[in-house]
Amino acid sequence: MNATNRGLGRTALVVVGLVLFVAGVGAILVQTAQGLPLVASWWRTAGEALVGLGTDTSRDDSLLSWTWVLGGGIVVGILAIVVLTTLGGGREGTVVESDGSADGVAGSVRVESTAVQHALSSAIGGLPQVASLAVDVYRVRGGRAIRVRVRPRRGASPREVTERVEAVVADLDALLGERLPVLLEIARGGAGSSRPDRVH
Amino acid sequence: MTAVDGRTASVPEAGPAPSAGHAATYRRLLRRETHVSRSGAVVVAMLVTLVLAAAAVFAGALVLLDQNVLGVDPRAVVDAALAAPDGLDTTLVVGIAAIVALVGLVLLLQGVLPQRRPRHAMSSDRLAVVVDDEVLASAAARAARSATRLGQDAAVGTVGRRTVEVVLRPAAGVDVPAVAATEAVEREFAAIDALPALAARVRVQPTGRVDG
Repeated sequence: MNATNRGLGRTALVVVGLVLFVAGVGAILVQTAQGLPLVASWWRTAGEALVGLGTDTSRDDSLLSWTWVLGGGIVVGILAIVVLTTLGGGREGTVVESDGSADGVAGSVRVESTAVQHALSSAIGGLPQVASLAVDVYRVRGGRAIRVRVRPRRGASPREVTERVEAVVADLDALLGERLPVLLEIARGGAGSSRPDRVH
Repeated sequence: MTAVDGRTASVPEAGPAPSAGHAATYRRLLRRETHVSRSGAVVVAMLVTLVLAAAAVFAGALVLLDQNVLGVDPRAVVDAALAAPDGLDTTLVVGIAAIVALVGLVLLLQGVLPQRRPRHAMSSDRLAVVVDDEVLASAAARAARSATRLGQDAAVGTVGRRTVEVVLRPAAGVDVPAVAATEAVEREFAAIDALPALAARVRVQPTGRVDG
């Protein structure tokens, strides 16, 4: 539910995976399969292309080739850091921020995430089916979304839990005057979940 | 469904427009919650990339400044590599290359395979709901047990992607109303309305237990 850009991450994985895989297989072929004409000719071409990086070349050639290596290393390194910075994050401190511009009244209203967390926790935590729960507010598609993670007691009906949380969220909608997207996650395990719900 | 009516009455300004926006948000949330995050593999791949990039920058800087480290010139290293397979230890090269290829293959598969989590989505008018399969399994076991007179651990539920199976293990000599149990499980899962849909099946184990 966090703000990780999964498309970018998967693209990066595919690219890096392909490069490493091809490099590894290529090295094995070059070392062991010089008998194959395709491998031998391909390796000769590669050697000619990379001759500028070796000792057997002019000073200018060498400087130019290694400048490319240096620049490429910097660019790839920056790209890797950019991908790393897209991981995680997305938690938000405010749920609603409105300056009430429609009415032209001065001042603004801000509802903090903790207010919603307390309201939902106390309402949902009282349900007999719920062993423990956590409420978080995340940024999703530019807006705010609430995640309610419920760990029910053993054998609790997911439909019953969903209906009760729906009722609680309906109250929250009335309270906020806005229908925020809410994700309900009914998760396994957790404290008290091994104890069955005896009193209905 | 009174809750739905109450909500629409109390929040008149929340018309169809925001819920249409929520449909896209909910689709995105459900997809993310039912699939595994690759952030661990991404971190590994990016660290490998960073190390390689740092090595390239370091080698480039050495050549441009006409320096060498421990008497090794990067240009000589390239010479040695380009001379392959002459002058290189085959076992060493193949061993290292195999490890590199394996790491690459693992990262590639991590990026390509869909990797679902053992979870199902549930229908709801207001919420996006995901349920762990373990929760569904224990609900199935409880539903099957409720139609019988079996004890706590006599019913075991298993949930696959499209099937839910409950195995009843009654104590020896106890008769089990299998049809009633099946109906109870089916009723439970009709109410749950999971996505992808789950087909229920109840099996009574013929070998009775003695501890019951």
